[in-house]
Amino acid sequence: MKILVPIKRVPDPQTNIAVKPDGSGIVTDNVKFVINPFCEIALEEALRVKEQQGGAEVVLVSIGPKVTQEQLRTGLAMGADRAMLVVAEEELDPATAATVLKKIVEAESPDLVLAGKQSIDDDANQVGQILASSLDWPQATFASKVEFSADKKEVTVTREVDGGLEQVAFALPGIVTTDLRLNEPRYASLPGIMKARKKELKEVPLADYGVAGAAKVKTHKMAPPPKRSAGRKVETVQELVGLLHTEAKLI
Amino acid sequence: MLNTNTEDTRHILWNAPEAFHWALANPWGLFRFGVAFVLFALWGLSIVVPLLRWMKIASIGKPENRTDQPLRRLRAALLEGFGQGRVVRERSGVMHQVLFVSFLVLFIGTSLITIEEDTPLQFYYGAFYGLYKLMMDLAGVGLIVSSSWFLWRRYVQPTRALAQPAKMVSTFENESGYGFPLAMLFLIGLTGFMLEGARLATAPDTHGGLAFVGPWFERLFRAAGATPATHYVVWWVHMVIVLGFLYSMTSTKLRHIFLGPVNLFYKNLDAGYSGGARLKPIEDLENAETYGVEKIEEYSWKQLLDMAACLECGRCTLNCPTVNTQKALNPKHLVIEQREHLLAKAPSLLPQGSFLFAQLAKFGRGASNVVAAGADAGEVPGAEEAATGGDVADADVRPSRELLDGSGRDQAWLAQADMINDVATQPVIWGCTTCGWCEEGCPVGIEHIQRIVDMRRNDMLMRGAFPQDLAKSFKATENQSNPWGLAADGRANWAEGLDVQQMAELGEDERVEVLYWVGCAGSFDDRNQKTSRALVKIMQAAGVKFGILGMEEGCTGEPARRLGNEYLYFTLAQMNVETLNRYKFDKIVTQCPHCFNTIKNEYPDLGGRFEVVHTAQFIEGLLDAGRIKLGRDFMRKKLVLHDPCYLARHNNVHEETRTVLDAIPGMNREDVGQSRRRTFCCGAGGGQFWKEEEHDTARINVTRVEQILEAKPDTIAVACPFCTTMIGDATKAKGVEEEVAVKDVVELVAESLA
Repeated sequence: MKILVPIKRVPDPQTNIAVKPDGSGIVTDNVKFVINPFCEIALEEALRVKEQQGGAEVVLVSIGPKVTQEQLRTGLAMGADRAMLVVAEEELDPATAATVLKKIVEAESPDLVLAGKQSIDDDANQVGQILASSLDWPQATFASKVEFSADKKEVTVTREVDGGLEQVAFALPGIVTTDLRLNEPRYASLPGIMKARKKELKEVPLADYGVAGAAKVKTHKMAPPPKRSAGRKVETVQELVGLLHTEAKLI
Repeated sequence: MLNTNTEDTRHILWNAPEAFHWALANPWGLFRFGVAFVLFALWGLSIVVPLLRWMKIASIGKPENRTDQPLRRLRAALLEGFGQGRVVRERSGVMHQVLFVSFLVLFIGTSLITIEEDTPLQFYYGAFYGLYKLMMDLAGVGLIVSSSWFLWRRYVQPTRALAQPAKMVSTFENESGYGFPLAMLFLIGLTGFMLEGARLATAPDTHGGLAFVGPWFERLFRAAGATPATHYVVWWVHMVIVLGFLYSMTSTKLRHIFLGPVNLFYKNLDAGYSGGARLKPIEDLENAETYGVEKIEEYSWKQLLDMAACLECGRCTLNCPTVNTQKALNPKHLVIEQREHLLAKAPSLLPQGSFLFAQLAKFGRGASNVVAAGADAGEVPGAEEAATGGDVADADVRPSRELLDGSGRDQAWLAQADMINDVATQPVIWGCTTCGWCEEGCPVGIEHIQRIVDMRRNDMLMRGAFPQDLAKSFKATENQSNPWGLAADGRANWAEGLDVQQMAELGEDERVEVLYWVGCAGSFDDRNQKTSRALVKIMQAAGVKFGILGMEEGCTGEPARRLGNEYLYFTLAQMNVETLNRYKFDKIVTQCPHCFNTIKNEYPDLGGRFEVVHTAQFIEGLLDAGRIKLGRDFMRKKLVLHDPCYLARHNNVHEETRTVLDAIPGMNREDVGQSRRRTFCCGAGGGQFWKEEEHDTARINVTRVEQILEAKPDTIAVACPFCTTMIGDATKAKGVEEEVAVKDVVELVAESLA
C-alpha cells in the first residue's frame, strides 16, 4: 500500500503572531515553523498503518519555500520513506495547491491520500475536498478513527459530527482528512533523525506543474484583531444600570 | 612457650588434639608450621578467589577512570567503608557497629594468642590477662546479641527494606542470604563461651580473669560433670565453625566487608554529595552510533562493581519516593536483578577456558550449559537451546537453575533476557525521580541514577520507546524552548512594569552583579511568576544591579537530560552556554534548584563555568551584608520547610534556606523527620513532572504532604518551582489548601521586607 501525505509548513501554533505594519503578512522573525498539526496527525496515522500492515510506503509531499525541507526532514525522521518538495516562493490558493497535488497523485498513484483537515495558518479547509473532486475519488473528512478491511481494499472512517459519531466507508483509492483526536503524533527518535538525513528528498520547481501565477485568491490585507480596551469600575448599581442603558445600549 | 610466670593465665592449646600437643613440645616444629601455613594459605585463597571472580566479572564493563585523587578515595574507603561512616546513619547501623567491633575484638584477641604462643613475647598474664578476658567476654556478648538481633530483624519481623526481588537465581547464597553467616556468627559466640566454660571447669591452673560470662558456663559444665573429653569435643565444634566461617566469608553476602570499602574507594567524587547531580555526558554525541546502555556489558566496570557490592540492606528504599508509593521501581530490586542477569550472562561474555570460567562452572551457577551451547562472546543462545544444553553430551552439564519467584523461568532465560524490557522493565526505568535518596542512603556508594538514565538514553535515543506523554513536552521544548510550549517571545512577560532590564538592552560590555536566571517555571507558570516578581522586589530593595536574558534564555535541558534525551539537552545547553559566555556578570542566581544544579554541575562539561547560587544562598548573602532588612512580623504561625532534592540532597544546601527563614521576624519553624539531606521527593524530578504518574499507586506529592502535615504547619515553605506546584496540588488533594499556605522562601522574605 502506498500512502501519500501532503504536509504544510506553518508557524508553531503557540507562537504569538504579529502582523507586519503594512498588512502584507505576518512577522516571521523569531517565529518557529513546524509541520501543520493536522498534517502531522495524518502522517502519524500513515506511519501507524505502515507499521501495522508492513510493506506500505509513506510518501511526503509539500508545496512551499525551500526551507520547507526542515519540515520534510522532520517527517522523514518520524518514519516517512521519501519526500518531495514543490518549491514555491509565491503564495498559492487552495485550488492551485490541489491542482499541483492532483498531478502528483496521478504520477505516484497512491492507494490513499491522508491529509490534515486544514492548516492552522489560513484555516481554509479546502485542499482535501478539492483534490477529491478533481480526481473524482471518494473522500472522508474529519476522521477520528481509520480502519481498514481485512483485504485492505476498503477503509472505514469514523467522523465526529454534532451530537455523535458517523461512520463512512469507501473503496480505495480515496482521500481521508484527519481531525484532532485521531492520534498523538510521535516524537522522532535520534536514529530516525540520522536515517532521515539519507532519505530521498526530491525538489521540483513549481513551474513544472504549469500553475505559476494561477492562484485566483490572493491575500489582500492582514490586520491584527482590535486590542481589548480596559474595563471600567463603577461605584453603584444605579450607575451600572445607567451606563448599560446609555453607553452599551444593552437595556 | 613454656614459662615460669606464676600470675593468672591459662594454658594455651590445653587439651588440643594430639597433633597440637606434639607441636607444643616442638614450638618451631616443621609440622606445626606446615599446618599453620596451609591453613593460612587456604584461608587466603578462599577469600581472594571469589573476590577475583567478581573483579573479573566487573572487568566485562567499559573503561572508566576512577583512580584520580587516590588519597581522597582512600579516605572514603577508610572512613565511610571500614570506619562505618555511612552505616551508622540509620538506627540499625548501631547494632551493625556492635557486631563489627565485637568481631574485630575477637579477631584481634585470638590473633594475640598466636603472638604470645609463637613469639618470645609474653604478655598473657596478670592484669593484662584479666582485662583481656573481660574484653573477650564483652565482645562475645556483643556478637551473640547483635547476630541474634539481625536474625530476628531478617527472619522474624522483616522490614519492608529487606524484601527481596523476584528475579533471583536459586543458588545457595541467594536462598540462605544472611541467615548462614549470621547463624555462624551466633554459633561462634555461643561455642566460644561454652569452650571458655568447659576449660574453666576442667583445665588445671586456669583462671577466668575478669571474664563474667565464662564462669556462668563453668557452673553449667561443672553441674553436668564435664571432663576434659567434653572440652575436647567443644574445642573441635568451635574450631570447625570458626574455620567454616572464615573460609566462606567472601562466598556469602559477607563479601561486602571487602567489596564495600573497595566500592567506596572507586565512588563518584563529582559534584554534589553523591555525585548523582552530574550525569555523565555521552562522548562524541554527534558521531556516536549507540546511545545509553541496552545490554549489561555496555555499563562501565564501576557500574558492574556496584552490582557486586550491593549488600541488599534496602536502605535505598527507606526514603525512596517510588517504593513509598508502591510503584514498580525499587532501586534495591533493580540492582540485584541486574546483578543476577549479569551473573547469568557473564559466562558468555568472558573468554572460555580461562581459570575464571572454570571457577564459574564450579560455583554452579548453571553457567556451563549456557556456554556449552556454543555461545560466542556477546552472543547468548536462546533459552530453549540453553535449557536443553544444546547438543553437548558432557555429563558435567548442570541443569539451569530456576528463579526463586516460582515463575518457572530459569537462569538461561535470565541470561538471554532483554535487560531493559525483561530484567528492568519499562515502568521501573521511567518511574525514577532522580531525587538521589538511594545514593544518599547507600552504605557502599552505589550509583543508581546514572544506571537508570543510561537505560533511558537507550530507550529514548535508540528505540524511541519512551512514555508517549513526554513527546508533547519534548516537542514544546524544541519549538519554544520551554516544556510548556508557551510562546518563547513571552518569556519576559512576567516582568512587565517591574523595571527589569534585559542583558541584550544592557549590552555585552556592561557588567552586572547578578544575572538572574529565571527558568521556564519562573517565566511561564502563573504561580511561579509570583516568586520571580518577589525576587525582583528583594533585589531592588537591596540595590542589586541585575539583568535577565529574556527571550535569549532557554530551557536548561535538565528535564530532557534526566529523561535520557541527551540530544535535546545538548542542543539547548550549548545554546545557553554560548549566550551566558557573551555577557559579563559576577554570578548567576536561580530560583529553580534544577536550573541551579545543571548550570553549576553540568554546564562545565560544555565549557560553561559560572558562579551559580540558588536564591536561598543569594538572600542569605544579602542578609549577611545587611543589604536587606526584614521587619514585618507576620509569621505568627508554624512553618515547615520542604527541602528540594536538587538543593538539599544533591548540592548539600540546606542550612542557608533555614538561616534565611529564621531571619524573618516571628518565625516559628519546625523540621519534619524527612528534611535536609533526608528530604522526601515531591515527585516532580527526573522529568516526572512532564509525564503521568504510574497508575493505581499512591501519589508521591500527597505522600510527602502527609508527612509534613503531621507537624501541623500553617505554611509550607518551598524553594523550588516544581515543589511549589506539586506540594500546592497535594494540599488541594488533601483539601487543606485553605488552612495550609504553600510559599516559596523568596516570597516569604519579600513579604517581610522592612
